[in-house]
Amino acid sequence: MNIFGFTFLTVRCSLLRDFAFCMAASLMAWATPAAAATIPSTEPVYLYSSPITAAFFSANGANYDALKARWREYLRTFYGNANREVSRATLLAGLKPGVLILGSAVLMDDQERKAIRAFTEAGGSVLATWGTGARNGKGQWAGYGFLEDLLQMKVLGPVTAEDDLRFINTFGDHPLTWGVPGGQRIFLGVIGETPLRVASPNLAARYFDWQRFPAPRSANGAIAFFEKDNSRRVYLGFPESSWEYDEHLELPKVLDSIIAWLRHRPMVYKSAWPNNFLSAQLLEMDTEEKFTNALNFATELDAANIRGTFYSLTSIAVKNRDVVTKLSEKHEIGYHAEVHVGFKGKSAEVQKARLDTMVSDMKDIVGSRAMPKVTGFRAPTESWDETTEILLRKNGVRHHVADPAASESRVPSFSAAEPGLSTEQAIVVLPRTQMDDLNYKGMRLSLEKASESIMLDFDYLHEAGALGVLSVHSQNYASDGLMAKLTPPYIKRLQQHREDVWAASGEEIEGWWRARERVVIDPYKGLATSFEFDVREPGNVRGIKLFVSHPAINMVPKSVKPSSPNAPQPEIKPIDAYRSALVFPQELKAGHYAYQMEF
Amino acid sequence: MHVLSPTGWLIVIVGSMILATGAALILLARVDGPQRNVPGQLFDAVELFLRDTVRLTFKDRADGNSSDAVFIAPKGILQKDATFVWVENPEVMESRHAEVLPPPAAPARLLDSDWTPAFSGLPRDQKKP
Repeated sequence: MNIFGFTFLTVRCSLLRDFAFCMAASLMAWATPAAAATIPSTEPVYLYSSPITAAFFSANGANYDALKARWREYLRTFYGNANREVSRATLLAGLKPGVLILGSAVLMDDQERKAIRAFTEAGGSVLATWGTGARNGKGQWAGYGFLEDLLQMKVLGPVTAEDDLRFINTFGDHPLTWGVPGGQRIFLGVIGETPLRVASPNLAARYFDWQRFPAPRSANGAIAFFEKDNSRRVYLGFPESSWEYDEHLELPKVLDSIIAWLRHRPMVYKSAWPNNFLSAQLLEMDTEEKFTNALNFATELDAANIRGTFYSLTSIAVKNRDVVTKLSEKHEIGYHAEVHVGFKGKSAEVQKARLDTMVSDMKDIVGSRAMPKVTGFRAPTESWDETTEILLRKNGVRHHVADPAASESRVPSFSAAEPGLSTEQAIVVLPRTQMDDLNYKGMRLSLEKASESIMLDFDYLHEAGALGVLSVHSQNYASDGLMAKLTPPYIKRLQQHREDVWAASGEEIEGWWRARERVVIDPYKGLATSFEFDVREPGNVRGIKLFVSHPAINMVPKSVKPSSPNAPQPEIKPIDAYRSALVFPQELKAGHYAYQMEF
Repeated sequence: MHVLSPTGWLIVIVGSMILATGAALILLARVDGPQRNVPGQLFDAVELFLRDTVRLTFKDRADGNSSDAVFIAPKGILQKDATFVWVENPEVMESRHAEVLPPPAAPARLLDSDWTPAFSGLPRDQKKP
């Protein structure tokens, strides 16, 4: 088990930042009283210490402090003096607007419920977790009406053992969860306090099993939110005891962005995808046995004007050069090793010999002039290790499509095999985030069920702002095969989303991910009225998009003006009620950029 | 008696290559369509021709390493005499689940609507006898 630790102190200095933000907010309120009236000050963070819940836990052999302690540790570390633990008496007396945390405050009597409602009606924000309010002051069952009314959602019940939904996946680029990458998989453990599922039109995360099998949409909401009359509310369906299983310490980052939203802070953060795109999709084929079936796949991609990637087993591709030549006219050709045997665990010498053969084969296939264009790799049986990555990079490989376990998120990342490398040099890892044709065949679903599942998977990854990597195998792509029937409707769905889904080849996604990394912004350094960012060398970043979370519902920025006269002007595009996009369609050179923002 | 001397053979080979190159150039020149990089394509064609010659004539692949078969399981897993690398260190196998459930932090039936334990509320809320 991992101890919920305090290792972020070196990452940011939130106390100083809170102070700077408060000063700026106060100055803004003084200068623009009309604006201040619509953006309530919700700086204090209150942790409610529910005495009835504590007494009930004690009377029944449990310890409420074991849950509340998580909040104490987190708030003390990151919110310092802005954080207060409040007693029942203080709650009933009335709190000034701020953020009130109800950490698994399961028992709640009528007076407490009334005080919390009054707090929200005055503009206060609430963060509630798990079964808050499910029992009354006498410990009798009261149901989930308190939560359902507060957040305008429906509590569906606990996640069962059969569901096996032991992970949450957060939405990327979302006003509540932008602090972690899209589709971040966070383990909740196997605990006695089973998480609760909710249905809500406003979600920020869902429950999934490890492989993200697309469960029904109505049944797996994990984080919900709601805003009414300047009062913001957030619900986490899982209890604080789950935090113990967050090995990679992602939950504090989620809580940071949630509390920033509850405090009505407009945060400016970098988007995963360029221009107007909200998610991305790679359609790739492992081209091996029955190599010529690749032309079937290519025909469907061509009809949709989508560029795919064909990772080719070179010992077979060399005998099908005409097919490779045909594919390369519109699509990317990549490596899939020389024979279909994995690399993981093999010595560096063995791997090098194999990769040298693979590269030599590819030269025999495409010729030396075309070799610089072959920069992608996919390991057979998804079996690779750090040695493979080091050797691949030396052979000019710039990206590889890896197994679902390669990353806990559903967006690209940089290889950690050679930590000293810059992001201009390191290999970009594209995790296979969707089930592939082998999975679908193995599940033996009917065509109808498989189709429903793959479409739902698309909805989930688009909702999460994620990278979809749909992998098919040439041997399964005969014209009467399952994938040949599943893929066309999927491609059609992509075409329907051509405005907001970026369907691109592996090398295009790799190139973008590198360019994006040159833009450096710290959302916590921004103020309510300004933000700044840097573009590192070599610059040449076109289409970067920043999101700005609205300080109130539908409060789109009125203007964003550069601080220097020659700086590029972004386009403001509202995305939904809670965020807008600032798109820089121009090419940004290396340098520092600063902007003033007005709401 | 040799039909040709070594010099003669060399002349034949070089002459054949020139003819092949010329034929390729003619074929390329006759193709309609968008403007092509003819010198580049010529280079490609000649290079691939030479590579094919070398590959088909000289390249020797070690046995077992040139199979076109798509292996998913380890090769030879059902062969009696096959050799494998055995996993002896149990630490290699990582478990994603806790081996033992931790003690619950909350009463086990806290969110069970059918559970109504005896509870009198806070001490000050209890009725005085």
